[in-house]
Amino acid sequence: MRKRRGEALATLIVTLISWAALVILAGVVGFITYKGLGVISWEFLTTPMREGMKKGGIAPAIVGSIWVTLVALGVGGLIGTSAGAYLSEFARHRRLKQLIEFLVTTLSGIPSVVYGLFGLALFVVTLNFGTSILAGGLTLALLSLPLLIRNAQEAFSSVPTSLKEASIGLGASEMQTFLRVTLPIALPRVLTGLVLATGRILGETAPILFTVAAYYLPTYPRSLLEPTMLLPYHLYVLITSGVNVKETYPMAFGTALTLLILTLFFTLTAAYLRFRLKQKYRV
Amino acid sequence: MYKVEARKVSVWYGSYKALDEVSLCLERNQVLALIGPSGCGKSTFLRLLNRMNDYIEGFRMEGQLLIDGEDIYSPEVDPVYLRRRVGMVFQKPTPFPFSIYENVAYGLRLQNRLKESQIRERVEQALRQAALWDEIKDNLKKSALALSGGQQQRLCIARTLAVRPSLLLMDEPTSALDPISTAKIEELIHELRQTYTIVIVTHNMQQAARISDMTAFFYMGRLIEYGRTKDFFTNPQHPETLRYITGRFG
Amino acid sequence: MRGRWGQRFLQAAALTTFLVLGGLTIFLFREGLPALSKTPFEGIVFAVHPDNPVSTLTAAQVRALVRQEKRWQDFNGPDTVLIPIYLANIERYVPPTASIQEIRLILDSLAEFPGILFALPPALLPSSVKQLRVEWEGWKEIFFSTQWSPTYEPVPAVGFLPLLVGSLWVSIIGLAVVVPLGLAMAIYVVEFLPKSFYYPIKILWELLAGLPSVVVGFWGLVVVVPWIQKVFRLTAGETALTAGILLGWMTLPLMASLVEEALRAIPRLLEESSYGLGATQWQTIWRLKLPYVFPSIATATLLSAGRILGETMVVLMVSGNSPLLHFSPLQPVRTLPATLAAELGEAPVGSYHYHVLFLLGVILFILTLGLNLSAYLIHPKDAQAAR
Repeated sequence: MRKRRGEALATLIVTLISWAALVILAGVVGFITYKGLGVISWEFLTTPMREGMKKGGIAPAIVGSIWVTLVALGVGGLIGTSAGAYLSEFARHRRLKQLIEFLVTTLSGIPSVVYGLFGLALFVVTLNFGTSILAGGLTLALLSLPLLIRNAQEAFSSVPTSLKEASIGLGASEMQTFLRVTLPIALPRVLTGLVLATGRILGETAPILFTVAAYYLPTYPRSLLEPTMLLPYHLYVLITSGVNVKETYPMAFGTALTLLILTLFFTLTAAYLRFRLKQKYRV
Repeated sequence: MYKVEARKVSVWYGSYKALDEVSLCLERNQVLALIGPSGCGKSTFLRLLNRMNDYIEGFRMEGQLLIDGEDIYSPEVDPVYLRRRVGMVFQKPTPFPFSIYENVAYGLRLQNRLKESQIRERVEQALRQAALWDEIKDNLKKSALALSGGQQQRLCIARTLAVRPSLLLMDEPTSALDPISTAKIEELIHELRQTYTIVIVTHNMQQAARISDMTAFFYMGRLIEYGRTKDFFTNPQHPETLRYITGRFG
Repeated sequence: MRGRWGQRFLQAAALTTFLVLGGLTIFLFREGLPALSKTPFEGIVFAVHPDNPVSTLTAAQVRALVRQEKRWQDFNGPDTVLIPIYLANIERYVPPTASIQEIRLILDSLAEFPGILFALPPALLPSSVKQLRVEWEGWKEIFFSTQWSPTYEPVPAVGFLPLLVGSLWVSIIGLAVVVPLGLAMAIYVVEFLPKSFYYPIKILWELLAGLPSVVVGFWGLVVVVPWIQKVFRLTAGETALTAGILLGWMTLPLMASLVEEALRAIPRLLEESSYGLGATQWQTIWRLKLPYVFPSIATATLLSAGRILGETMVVLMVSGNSPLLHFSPLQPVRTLPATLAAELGEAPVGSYHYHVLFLLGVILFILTLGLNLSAYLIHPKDAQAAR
């Protein structure tokens, strides 16, 4: 057999590139884990920061991130899933449906910082929520809407038409069919989308800069109308604009690792759920 | 020396045995029709001849398969060069999404040593051989996807001929075509037998009877009967062949 | 009846989405467009010595005067040096403890100087001076000025060009990374990857896609920036190149998975036809498969460009944040989104700076929307599949 050196070389190149990209990923995760693991302790996770963020923990940022994510998921999940259900199951006007789908698709590529601008103009200024958990949560809800809608729409459309028709044939109304047949079957997929969105929301930084994030506020929020610290923004502050950046580096690694663990946990869970669903429904 | 010679060829896909000790010989410039019910192994046998089965997972083969006296499964044979000598046409037209001209030139450009003028010459020659030239000579730059199904299939034949194979494999080439296009392709096969040896898989026994010199009947992975087409349809030796050609199964 | 209300609720949710996403556009424009009609010196009056023959200047000329790039003589003004007095430098002449009467007295005496230039609220302006008309052509300043220093007093510079060029550099470098490498990854996974590795590698892609950008920026700052600095012998490793490489790498999963799906969708028979004509595996990839999926590659490239153009945190952290017009990728740059993130927090709501930043947001919005729209028009299915 004649050897094809060029072909072997090309194969080698694409192989190396593919693995190199992932080795770098492992490098990032490994580096941050290595540097951050020594910092993370029970105290780090449960106490507020002290002495100009050089000492203490990051608990207010964790709590703030959880609050904002809950608001975003609550609002975004409800609207997104409902809108997805409407588009998939109830929309009769083909034109309207196409228009919304088109809008959702093109808007899903709008940079998150632009959503931040919108959140500032609408929630913070016009609706006068101020820099607050509510404003930030709603901004993140809008940001994740395209993802959530598309996901819900796919989830509901994946339920076999034969099942829906069988239910209608037994005398159920469309809404009954949706609530008793379509929704329960599609639920795992809907939840998978929510898990994925959670990972995204937790890691977003740009949209919260002007809508909720506080530079230094080592207390726990008492209402939705207060600003709060958040993990990604706290990390950003620690690296770029701390009082003494070199001295806050260990804290930054601890924060980065915490954030990484949280987001990767949700991303991995979503990936796992999705691949399991795929295998389950493959015929 | 035979053009094609199979010696006790068996094929497995994983644990499934697709061909069981098939042996046959085919002379140069003859048309061999492979018939039999679906899943009988006739397509597997056809695809053995240009090693198209190599890519299928779990494929394993025993026995010897010779083309022009050379064992095509010996380790020295490069399947890529083999396929330049053994052309193949598929059951559905498979034009590439390029222009008509580029479709025919595709195989020629793979070898990298022809000048553009030579390529043009051979494209025209191949299109003439495939009886397509007169219909499309003014539209060579048009997308091949714009052609009708029958034209597309003749384009695929031209594309195969341009590489100048000596053996031509056809896997149910008319199964996706209307009767008029089918007639044109059959006429074309008739012309091509002057220069080529052709192996064709077909579902259609009338077609086999019309176009082939030799017919092989496969059933459940075995070659049941093999002989001259004339004798085959008038005087089958094997009861299963008789049942098949009289339409009792398949 | 319950059914009808349920349906209404779902309908309302869809409508809300529609309105909110549409409202996004309206709000951006509502806050951004005033930048074209307003002037940055509202409530400020420019004034000169009454004997100064200059009566009208453009904003750029005033800026040049204050920066001492030009002199009064260049505009047929008095043959003397310029003394600019504006809110940001007034304490150079007035002690911070001075009462309002004392301030007036000091300003009155300064007004005697022939080369004086005041830029002050009318209430503080001495009575003896002559008003100077300063022309502000908003759109010219915004789209043709090559400087960006929006808080510079008394006349800010709000040229978008340095920021656009910064974004352009980062995007070009990012695309130069993501397109070839993304294609290579897609080809590898479809053609060469053993089946049992498929899910593990796809999960790693998802992880890469889900990496928070602020973490990538942090890692870039600590690891990549010093590395770039060393390799290219620079004084600072925060460059357009650094940001471009990191963004390209982050965008790989988007590019690779879209092209992968497209490659998988190529009909089996078409592939076999190519092999049947004696093509090798790589000949089939180059000559048949890549041309075949070209629309998907184009779509993926446009979507990646949009992603890179809009990425904020990484650029903010590793690109050096220098809003100067540079023509080398080894210089620090400032991109559109990084500018928004860095400055919007400090711009008072409703100020000129605030509106200019929103206009910047509008430009970013239009650019990314354009990219996504063209991606959608080329290949709607692929554009929808991207997450």
